[in-house]
Formats: sequence, structure tokens, C-alpha cells
Amino acid sequence: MEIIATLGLNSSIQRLHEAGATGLQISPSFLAMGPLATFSLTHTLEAIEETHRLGLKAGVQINAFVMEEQQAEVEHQIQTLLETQPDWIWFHDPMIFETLKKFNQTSLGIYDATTLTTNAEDIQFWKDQGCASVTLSDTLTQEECLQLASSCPYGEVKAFGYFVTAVSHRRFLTDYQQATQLTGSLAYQEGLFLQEENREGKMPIYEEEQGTLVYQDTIFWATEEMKQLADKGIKQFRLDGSFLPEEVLLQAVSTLSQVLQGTGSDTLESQYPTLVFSKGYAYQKTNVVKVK
Amino acid sequence: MKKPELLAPAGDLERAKIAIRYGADAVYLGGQRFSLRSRASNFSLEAIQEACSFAKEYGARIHVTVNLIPHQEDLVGLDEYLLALKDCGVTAFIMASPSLIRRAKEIVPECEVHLSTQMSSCNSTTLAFWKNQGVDRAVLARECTLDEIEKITATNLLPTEVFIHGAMCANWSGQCVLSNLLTLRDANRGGCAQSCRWRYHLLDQKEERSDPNCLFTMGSKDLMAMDALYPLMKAEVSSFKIEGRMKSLFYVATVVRSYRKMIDLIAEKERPLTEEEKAPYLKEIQRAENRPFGTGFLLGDLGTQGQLYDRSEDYVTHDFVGIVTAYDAYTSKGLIQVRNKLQKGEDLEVFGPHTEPQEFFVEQLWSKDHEPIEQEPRNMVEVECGLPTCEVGDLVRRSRHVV
Repeated sequence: MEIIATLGLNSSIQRLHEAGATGLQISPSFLAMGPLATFSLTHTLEAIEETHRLGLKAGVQINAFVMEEQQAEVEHQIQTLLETQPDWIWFHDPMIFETLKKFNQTSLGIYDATTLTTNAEDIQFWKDQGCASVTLSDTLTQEECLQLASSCPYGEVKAFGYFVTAVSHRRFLTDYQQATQLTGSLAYQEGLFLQEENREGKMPIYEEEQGTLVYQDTIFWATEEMKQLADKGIKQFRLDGSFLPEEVLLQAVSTLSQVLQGTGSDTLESQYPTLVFSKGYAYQKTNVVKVK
Repeated sequence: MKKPELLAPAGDLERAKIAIRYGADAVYLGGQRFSLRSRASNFSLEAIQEACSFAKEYGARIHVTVNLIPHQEDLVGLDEYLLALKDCGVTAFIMASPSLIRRAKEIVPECEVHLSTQMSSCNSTTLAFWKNQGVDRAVLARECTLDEIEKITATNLLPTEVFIHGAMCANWSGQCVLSNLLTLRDANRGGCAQSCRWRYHLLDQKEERSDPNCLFTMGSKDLMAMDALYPLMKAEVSSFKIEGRMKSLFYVATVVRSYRKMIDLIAEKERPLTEEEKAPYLKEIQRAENRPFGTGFLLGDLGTQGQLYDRSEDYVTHDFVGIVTAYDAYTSKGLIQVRNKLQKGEDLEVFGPHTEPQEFFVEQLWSKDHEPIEQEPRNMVEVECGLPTCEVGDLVRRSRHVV
């Protein structure tokens, strides 16, 4: 069973290890997007080595969109990363997969297109290409995940965190700031939220050089459901600490680890009453027509 | 100079026929399953067959969108559907799901597969990957610049298709499920509620950062690539795509006609159009376009200038009035099928695939039974009136600025 946690620049590999993480996801700034994508290539290499030294697995997230002119640099960085023998490379752009193929490393690939893996056939497609795993879309219901767990037990499930709901090439916050003449920089700032004018939920928004990400308005947390998926054969769970204090991620890692092993119960929500948790789409089916 | 395919959208059979008559080389449309625009009328198999037959008469082609991101339950009946589309005479499927692509190439290899923009293809190595999966053409991401499009197309890995006109997704296509979150409608299965165009408060923790008179929005201006047509043609992009399966017949006719004429003119002159040459087409497109437009990412990120913060949303200058269903050159009279209340004493304009816009005054109106009438408010009813030289199928419109 793999319990994989995201690593922030200031978070402790040792503490994540002690909490129960078996692997870490590291996000280099050029190759990845999001508030955790702050690792320089050198920092990434050091973090992979340190993670391995502590006996954990280490993977690299490459979720940026690769434009034509960036290909050579992306390939160079991947080649450099491969020298430290990472255990996984999460990707969504087939360019990354082709690069892994060039270096005979397709088995490191985890296809993580966030919204696009919604059926067994598409998951099998990426498995057939030689990938290690495929991340299930967080838009799936628990019933759908259970079906996929049976047919595709090599699937990876996102088990915790604010999940991305939209990614843009545009720098929305900077554009808005200029349009309204707001003072102070909004780019690279955590703690900013969008609230639709007629709704209550607050969605984290984060802008960086490569664009803007908007996240769901609640923290996904569903240990009982994760246990059901583990019982059906899912072996890899990923927890994302974006926008959260390290202690919350550590507690989530520890709790999930214990729940999956049947050695503890879940008290996370009661420990952090000010945070808004939900089970995401687990019991909310999305459709093509307006749901009242 | 080689002309690219001009690819137009159609939400129903009438719009498909209009698009072809007004100059589209190909039309893309959605069937009643596996497509991404649940609110478009969408085509039955019979209608697709009729569209294919009509297209064939004009030497045009029909592409069908099979581009939803399917959940398990959506996959039932796929083989039968693809086979039926082939039998209808469809040229290509526009697809995103890799397993759908694989299946299409297995059971209907005679049909082309065009990779949907949902897959956000923005580099040539990605095209190499999809070529190996049997894809015949790639619709490039709208985030690509002109320079990137030129370089990707120059690799000759796959023919490329590029959006030249219409609404822009604010986010990477396929990577936006805002509608799922805010409305429980699945954006990747045709339920996009355009939540990116809604208004949002921007909060710093609990403090409001947004301007209450101009709330935050992700909505972007529409794309209008008039200035990029020549370099895109020179780069040998295979297909120029107009967005808008939800758009009206009037919009489709106006926009297709304008781009048809511009492409033909550029091919003939083998140079970019001058400002003077472009001006009438710009004016023409503005008659149907209801949002301000920009060059998208083609000439680089427009920043604030590419976004829509203004609430005054209606920019269209003309309203669609009706279609000419009969014309007698001897009497200079014809029949107009009314689509938007027509009355005696109006100044109107008629235009068509071969008819330059001509103004005319409705001096008298008659019912189809030749009874003089003052007005006809009913949709689809035919009325008779005097018309300048025109053809059956031409459209009649009214300027909003006429007092």
C-alpha cells in the first residue's frame, strides 16, 4: 500500500515519513503548476535523494502544459531528474510520456489528467502504453470508483486535499488587478479565494507564471470510502497539502494510514472544525443537465 | 497559395446547410450521443445522413463530434453508433478519449479521427504520440501562439486544425470542471454552464479584494483571427475552425461568408489583406457577433485586454429578420420566411453567398395570399415584398441603429 503525500518546500520529509507516508510527490517549479511547485531543479534532486535516504519512494509531478519551445528544456530536466532514479513521474501531456519512452522509463509514468480518466477503457489505454498507474478523476462517484477499482486495481486515488477544478494559461489575477487598479501583487499569493456572487463556497485561486489554478471549495476527505477502495484492490492513495498547514497534512496522512490498516479511527474533521471538508463527488453524480 | 479547409459549426440541419451554402468546406456537428454540447439541438442519424448528402452535392464534408470524456455508462452502443455514422457518409470523428480513438480506428478505419481540442495539444511531440495512435489530424489548443502553430505544423507530423473565430474557453479545454462544482453539470460530457463567465468576489482570507462595481470573472473575449489568416495559410494549417455549435443561423451565415471571402482573397493575392481590404469583413462580422473580440493567444497573451470585465454584453449590430424562399427577377418581388417580426416601412438588408449586402425599403408587404398587411410577427410564416436582386437562401437582416 502506498500513501503518497505532497512535499512543500518547507515541510519535513522526516515528519511525513513518521506520519506514515510511504512516498512523496515533489513539484519542480518549471515542470509543475500550483502553490507547491516551488522546488528548483537542484532542490528537487536533493529532495528525491533525501526521501530515498529515509527509505521512502519519491516521485515528481509534471503537470505544466509544455509549449513547443519548451520541449528541449523539459526533456533536459527530465533527463536530469531520471539520474536520481525517481519512483514515479505524474504527467498529463503525452510529450512527457514520449520523453520517458525515449529514456526507456515509461514504467515510471502515472497518467494524471485530473478530469480525463473516467472509465476503465481509458485507464487501460495508458496501462497498455506501459504506465505504472493512472490517477482516477476526482469527478467520479464512489460507486464508479469501486467499479474501476475492481477492473483497474492499479489505479491511483486522490484521497485528501483541495483538488484542482480549473487550470488556465491566463494570469487571471494579474489581469483583474490591472483592470481594477488593485494595489499589491496577487500572483504567487496563497490565501486568495473566489466566491461566486450567489454562492457560499470559497475556492482557492493561485496564479503563477504559467497561468492560474482554481480549486474546489472544500477539502476532500473520505476515509471510509478509501478503505472500501483499498478492499477492492486500490493500492495507491495520494494526499495533497496545498493551501494547508503542514500539521493538517501530517494528521491526514497518519489518519488515513491507520484507517487503511484498521488500526485507528478518523477524527480529523473534529480536530480542525474551522476547515470545510467534504466527500467531493463521491455521492454527487454530475450530469449534462441542470440538477435541481 | 493553398487554401485551408474552412470548418463551420452547425447546431442543426438548417444551420449545416446554410454553412455549406455560405462557403464552408466542412461542417462539424454533434449527434445525439457522445457529443459535448448538450444544449445544442444535436442531430439524429437521419439528419446526419441528410447533412452528408447535402454536403456531398457541394463537395463539402461532415465531421461529427464524438468528443465527450466518457464515464463507463456512456460507452454502451459506441460501436453501433460509429458504424452508423460511417454509413451516413461522415468523413471524420472529432475525439478526445484515447480508448474511443482506438476503437474507432479498429472498427471504422475508413473514417478519419481528429483529435479534439479537449486534449490541449500544444507541442509537436504530443502530436507524434497521437499519430502513433492512429489520429489523422490534431486540433491544436487555443493557447498556442501563431509562432507555435507555425512550428508545430512545420514538423508535418499531423495535419493541424486551428480555431480562427468564436468563443474562447477561459481555461484549458478538458481541464475545467467548474460547472461540475457549481452546478453538478459535467463540463466534459456536454454540460458546461460557462461558469467561467460568472461573477466572483475575490477574497483575501475573509477580506474582499474585488471591486464591488467590477467583480472578478474569468470570461474572455471571443477570438477573431482576421489578422492571422495569411500567416496561418502560409504555415499550411490544414483547417480553419469557427467555434459555435450553439450559435444562430444568422451568425453562422455571416461569419462563414466573411471568412470564405477573406481566405479566397488571400489565396488569390498571395499576401496579407490590407486594412482597407479587411474593413468590410470586420464590419460584416460585427453584425452578428455578440461579444467583443480579440486575437486570443495567437499574437501572444492579451492580458487584461483579452478579458471581459464589462457587463454590457450585447455588441451585435444587426438582427436576423428572415430567409428568402422565392425570388422573381422579373417583378423584383420575393418571399421571405419570417424569423423575427417584419413590418412595412422598415429599412432592411439582404445578403447571401453570392449576394453582396444590399439595403432595401419595405414599401409594401403582402401575405402569401396576396393580401396587403402591415406586419408579420409570426415565426416561419412567409410574406411577399419587393426585393433587390438576390437568390433563394439569402438572408435578410435589420440594423439596430436605424431610427
